[in-house]
Amino acid sequence: MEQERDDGRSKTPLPELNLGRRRLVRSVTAAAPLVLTLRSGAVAAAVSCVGAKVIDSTDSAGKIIQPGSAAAGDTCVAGYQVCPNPGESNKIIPGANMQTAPVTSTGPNLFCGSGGGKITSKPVAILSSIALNSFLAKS
Amino acid sequence: MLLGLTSASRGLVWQDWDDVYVVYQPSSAETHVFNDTTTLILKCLEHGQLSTEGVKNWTEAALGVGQGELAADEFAFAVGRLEELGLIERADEPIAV
Repeated sequence: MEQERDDGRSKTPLPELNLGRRRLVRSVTAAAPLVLTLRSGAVAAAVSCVGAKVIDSTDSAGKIIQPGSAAAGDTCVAGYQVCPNPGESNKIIPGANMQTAPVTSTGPNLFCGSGGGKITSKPVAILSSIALNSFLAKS
Repeated sequence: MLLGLTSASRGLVWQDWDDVYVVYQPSSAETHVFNDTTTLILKCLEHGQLSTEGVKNWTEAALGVGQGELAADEFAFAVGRLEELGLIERADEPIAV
């Protein structure tokens, strides 16, 4: 059954089908062709990450330094890990010691938390409410 | 419209696994799972190009089902997928080998 190719690797020809045996159990719907492609291990190992609106830092007062598209009502997450997948550095996965706080606004500035509950002087990811739900489900 | 096998399809490595085939495609390093119907679609093109309708008719006959029992949309989907995988190709004119 095996044939040797020029490059030394072997290949097998299309198989002889034992249709007699299979017809016994085949229904009409079983005639539908099946074409599945298995995911490679590398792809299967890719981590499911959550997209952040902004990945930035807070200052000593808890102010988001470059808030970008962040808005009050979003959530700050500290202690996250950056997504390890290639090309997904704007996404995050849960870390071991995470801290969350709502994005609040005071005048033109946005802060992570309020009062004594601010996240200060730390890298933070800003998540929308939808992304936060997805993120917390992974925690 | 004629269908034909590509060189990639001739390098497939087949493993019969119960009622399906696990098929390794060296050209893409992908592994596929085909059933008898998909295998027959490829098999009937082993000896040369055939029209899409001809492949469908041949496959139905080989399966032992009546003409038209292989749903046209399912057949077209499988052919399209095999084409995407680079295992078959379409041509308006016969493809030079």
